[in-house]
Amino acid sequence: MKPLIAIISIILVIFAVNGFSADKPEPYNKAEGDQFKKMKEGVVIFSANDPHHKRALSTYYQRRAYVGAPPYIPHEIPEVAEVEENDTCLSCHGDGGYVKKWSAYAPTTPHKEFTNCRQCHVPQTEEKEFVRVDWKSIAPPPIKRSAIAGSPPAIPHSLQLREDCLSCHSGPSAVREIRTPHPERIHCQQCHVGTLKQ
Amino acid sequence: MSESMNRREAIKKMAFSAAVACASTLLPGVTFSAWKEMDHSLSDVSWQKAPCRFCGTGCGLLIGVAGERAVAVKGDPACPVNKGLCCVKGYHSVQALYGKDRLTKALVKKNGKMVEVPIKEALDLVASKMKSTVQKHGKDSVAIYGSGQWTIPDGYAASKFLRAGVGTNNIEANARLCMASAVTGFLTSFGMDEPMGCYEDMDYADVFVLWGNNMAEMHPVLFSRLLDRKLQDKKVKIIALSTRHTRTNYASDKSLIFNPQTDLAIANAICYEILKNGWEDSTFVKKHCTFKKGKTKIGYGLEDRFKFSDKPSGSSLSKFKRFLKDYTPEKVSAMSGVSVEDIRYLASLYGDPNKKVTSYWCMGMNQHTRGTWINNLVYNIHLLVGKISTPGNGPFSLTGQPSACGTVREVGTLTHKLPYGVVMNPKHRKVAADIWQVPVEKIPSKPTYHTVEMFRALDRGDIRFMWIQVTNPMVTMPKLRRYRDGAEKEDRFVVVSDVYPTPTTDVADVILPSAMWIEREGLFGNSERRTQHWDQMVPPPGDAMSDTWQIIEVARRMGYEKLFPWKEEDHIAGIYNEYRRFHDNPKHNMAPLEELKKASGLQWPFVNGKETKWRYHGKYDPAAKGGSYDFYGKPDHRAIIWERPYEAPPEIPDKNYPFWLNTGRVIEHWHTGSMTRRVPVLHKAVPESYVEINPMDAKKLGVRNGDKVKISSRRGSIVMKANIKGRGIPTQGQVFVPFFDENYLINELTLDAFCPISKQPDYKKCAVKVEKV
Repeated sequence: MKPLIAIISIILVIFAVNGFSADKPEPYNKAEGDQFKKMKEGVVIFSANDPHHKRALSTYYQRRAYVGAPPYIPHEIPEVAEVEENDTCLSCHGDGGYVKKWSAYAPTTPHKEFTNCRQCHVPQTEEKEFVRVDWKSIAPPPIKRSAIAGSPPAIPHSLQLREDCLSCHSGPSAVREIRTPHPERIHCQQCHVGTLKQ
Repeated sequence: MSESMNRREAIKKMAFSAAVACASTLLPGVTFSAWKEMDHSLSDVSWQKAPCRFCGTGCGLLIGVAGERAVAVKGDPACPVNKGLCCVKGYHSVQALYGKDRLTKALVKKNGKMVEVPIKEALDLVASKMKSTVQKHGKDSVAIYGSGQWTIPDGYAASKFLRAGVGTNNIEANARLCMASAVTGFLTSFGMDEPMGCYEDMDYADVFVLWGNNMAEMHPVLFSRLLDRKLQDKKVKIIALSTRHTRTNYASDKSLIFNPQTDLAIANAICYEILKNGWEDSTFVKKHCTFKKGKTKIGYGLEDRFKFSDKPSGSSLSKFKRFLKDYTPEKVSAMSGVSVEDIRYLASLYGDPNKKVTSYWCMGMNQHTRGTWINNLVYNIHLLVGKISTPGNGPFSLTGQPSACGTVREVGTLTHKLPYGVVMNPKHRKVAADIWQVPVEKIPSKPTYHTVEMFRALDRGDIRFMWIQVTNPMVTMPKLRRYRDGAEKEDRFVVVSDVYPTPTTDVADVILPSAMWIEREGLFGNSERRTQHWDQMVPPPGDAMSDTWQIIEVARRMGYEKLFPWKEEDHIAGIYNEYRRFHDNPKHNMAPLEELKKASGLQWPFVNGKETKWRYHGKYDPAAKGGSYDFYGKPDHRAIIWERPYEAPPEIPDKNYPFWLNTGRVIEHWHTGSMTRRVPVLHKAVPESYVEINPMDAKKLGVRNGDKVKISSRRGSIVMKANIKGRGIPTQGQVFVPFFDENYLINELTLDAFCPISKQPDYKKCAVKVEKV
């Protein structure tokens, strides 16, 4: 829990400074790049305007075959033989945080109780398909749906393997469009209820 | 690629996604998902249950269906196999339906060219060709070759058609190449096929011993269950015996790396240690076991028309102890390369009365020229210490195909097999004749060809017509070139039913487009005796038709309509209900269809509305007499402990061919890849095959990662990329090649030697040389 609390408190500080500007992304610019450089130097720990953690919903869905599919691994990974004890998937994706190697915040997994990660997540080493595939699926659910104005939106996806809401909806690696403005409230299903036949 | 390059690229990509993100806010409603979007929304999706299409684990899936298309997959939380979790193949399985080169029309060879024809015309041709071949060359000149991916109704229809219709036992299935040694192992030790235990053993065992089984990649969902157990209980241990380092080894508590084929000696050494230290359960052995020995120096089946039948003779505990003197840990250590300490350690785990032990294996033990023997030997260990048929204790043979058990082994789509019993037994033939309503003389009493011999017969011309369904032998047959040349000979007629073009459809005279998996109703049976039903969820494309219905259409054209009286709407129920009658006894009773439709699979024996999780023990199995063990598969109700020695494989590395060649799979691809390569995420993860070489050997050969090397055996050669320090590392003197890639036909190099008892070929051991290109 400790890292989570740490992340939450960092976010709170940032929100206090920046308001809820995370909803309005700004294009990449040099000033921000400089800020990021400073951050790397330890001047700023985390900023909601940092372009390097602006993981967008589109990126999120680009890495999946359908809503709810396990994402592929978007970066190179060492082969098993080279993995050292402390360099496993979960060392970055377990608790999240800034990863110097990729200059990015690692998304945290909502199911860190599973450790055979490459059972479901595989890296991509080739761009072309073997043959063309006529694959279609349904559109991702629209975001921020409230039944009445201002009411808490319902959960539009299955919770299977995704019961840890805050792993995706808060923290520096959270998807921008679906980041919660109140990560300090951790009993999510008190206000947000499922809408789908599961 | 250097690290700095990676980083630069990654940053570039991130800047791109920031730009995309920005655009998506400017244009609300526009999404940037990776797939083509349908008009349906998430709430239009209905979730329907099906077993996974791929391996023999039998994971329960929930398929999301919108309109007439499958659009998503979830693990079925109600399925006791996988409890809601799948592997990357399962999650993306539905994409395998939608490759653009899907076969949707029948094709017939006319003047050397494959031409599209109406499916009726193709079925007419298949029936008339089959009929004329029987007239000209006899009943045994036509054959059907199917697979462990045949649904239960497919296999049942094929068996009934050939045996009760045509009157030949020329039916085999690719499960001969993957499960035959497990079958003969079970039959020789226990008198009945299939495991006594089930996956629930994983919730109780303290020690898991994996015999030559890369479970982390090949049965990943089950391996996750083992890892889960370890998280719950730190005392739980996973011990991996293997011939190369794999992901399984890295996740295990201990690895015992042994020289190929010496698993036979190691298993005997464990028995030696158990008896030497008095760890055996002597009451169990006295009450429930007998000792036997069989023939030795039994050959390898390399020659055509090879014949072998074992002659078991009696033995005893004292004779068994004498036999084991050749297998002291010291002697076996010298042969196997495993240290004396490690052999003793493994024996002590099996021998510890306070530990529950489960053993798992798959192709390592089955694809073995002494496959039946090594299966027997692992049973010996469990029998000596009485760790069997109770929760957490038992030997468990894993399967590689979704219905290797359900169809090939239970329906019996092997030449000698009937749904109940074997063709050689007049009583069993009578049972079949009564249910099939044919004169008993109609069912031939002699088995004809096992798989390797069937393809040899096709090459020789003893078989002139072969119908291949749901399998790809022109990639998977060992010593492939001979069998491909045979299939391509003049005056051979090959019919192939499949969903995509493969090297096997390349040799076809007729190609029939098949309905795949959830495009039709069906049933599979997984490794743990679980029968699983699914409904048709989406329509098949074009003229595609289920394999069952193709067989029925051809059988009717040949005048066997009485054997298949069912209508298209309810033929699956009709077939299953008839098939169930064969197993109408407490040892094998199968769940009624109505129950199967409700549950995520049910285990047989299904007696009085209840599944049987552990067989051969009165506490769990209604067929077992008394409150304790009852090995009712054998007439004396005793399991057999076999004297089975170490014997060398037929081809061993030498001066000219100094490396062992081992073949197998990777997690992303299933078998010959005809389905998984069409799934984008899987193909992009492992786009082509490669050869794993030990880093020391690579250094000696001057080969670096990614360099091209030529691998040659006495039968053929192949040029492919070297993979050094990849996901698997073979021991020195060994190379490993995944067989999924039709562009690198590694089976042109393998040897068609097989276990003389099971007739299953050994794909794990032959001699090759490796040269830098």
